[in-house]
Amino acid sequence: HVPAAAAFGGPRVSSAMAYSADPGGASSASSSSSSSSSNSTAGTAGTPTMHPLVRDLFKRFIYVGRDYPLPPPYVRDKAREAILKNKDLTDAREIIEAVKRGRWMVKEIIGVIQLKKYRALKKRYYDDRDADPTGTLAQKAKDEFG
Amino acid sequence: GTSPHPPSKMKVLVGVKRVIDYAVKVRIAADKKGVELANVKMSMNPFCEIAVEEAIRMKEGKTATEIVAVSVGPKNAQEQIRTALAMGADRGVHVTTDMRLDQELQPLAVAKLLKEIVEKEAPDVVLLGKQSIDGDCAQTGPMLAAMLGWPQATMASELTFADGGVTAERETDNGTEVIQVGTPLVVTADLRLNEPRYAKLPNIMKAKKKKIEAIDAASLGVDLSPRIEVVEMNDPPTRAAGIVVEDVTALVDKLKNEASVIA
Repeated sequence: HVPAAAAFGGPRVSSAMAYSADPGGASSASSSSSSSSSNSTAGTAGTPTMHPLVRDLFKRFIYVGRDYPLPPPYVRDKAREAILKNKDLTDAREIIEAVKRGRWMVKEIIGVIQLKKYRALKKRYYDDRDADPTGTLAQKAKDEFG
Repeated sequence: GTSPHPPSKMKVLVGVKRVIDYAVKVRIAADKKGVELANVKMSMNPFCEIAVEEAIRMKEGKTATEIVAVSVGPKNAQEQIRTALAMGADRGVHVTTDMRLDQELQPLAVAKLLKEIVEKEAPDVVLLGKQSIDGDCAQTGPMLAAMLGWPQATMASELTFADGGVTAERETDNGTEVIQVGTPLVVTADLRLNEPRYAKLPNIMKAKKKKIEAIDAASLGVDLSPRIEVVEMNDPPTRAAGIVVEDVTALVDKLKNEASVIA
């Protein structure tokens, strides 16, 4: 029973990320517990699997990691770390709650991406104007100093 | 002119350009005629994102019923059209060309191509970014409006559609100007128009179901040849370090005698 964290090159895990040697998904009992066995995406025997929501979450992290201000490995590694922390969850509800938290983190990352972008553009295109929008300071300097 | 569709069922054509991502440190190519594009991250022009967002809001606000995203560019420009579709556009038009978007294919040619698409699609509103962060020409919108004989609301920071027309606030160097324009029209988006939504992965996946029509630019029968030749391109001069002055007198002295910005 080789767990799917092998996909991450990490320690053996079970449940939230389960390895299914059985294409029919019989061993998904340990991973999905009360969720339906169709959740187990067992590939050919010997392929590590993970709960589909977790896989989807990781993909979301990779996607936003490409736009994040730091190089993509940063977000990827943090995501991997956080997902592995929850690797032993078995209860479907707990898994969903953890995925929800992960999705919230993705949302926060998007916030950072957007903020940085629009601040940079504002600075690049509007800095002179915004510093003195109506030109009053420039006029005052002119009046006082000639 | 008269608008092709009634006021609450408008069709919007929104243009998106594939450019080097805003965060990339751009390098001048060895031949000094352009920038290095190889392996560089590309994205939708930020002003185009704002244009797309505005179009989507028009649809959400029941002013528009159909949003068509158009891009002129190489095969990979499809990614930018997909992003527009992920944000909420209904379908895409990809005018394909291998001419470089930041060099040979210039605003005049793009405007001519867009005119063909406008005549094909009959939108009520053409929404473009006010300028691209590579060329910074800010010409495509005004040129297109002139070619179509349509009014324009450029550098728009606010749009209010009502009674078959639009009230637009424009950001100019002298302040904000409010104009009243009829439809159909060309609008170019200023940074302050809105804050675009991020095209999330699930939406990108869903957008794959939406249609993108590809049209070869050469088949549209317009002259695309450049009118401007780039003679040389150089890095901007490195900024000198700033200095701290002790008081206002010292400041005035430096402004007068060193920087020569006051008499």
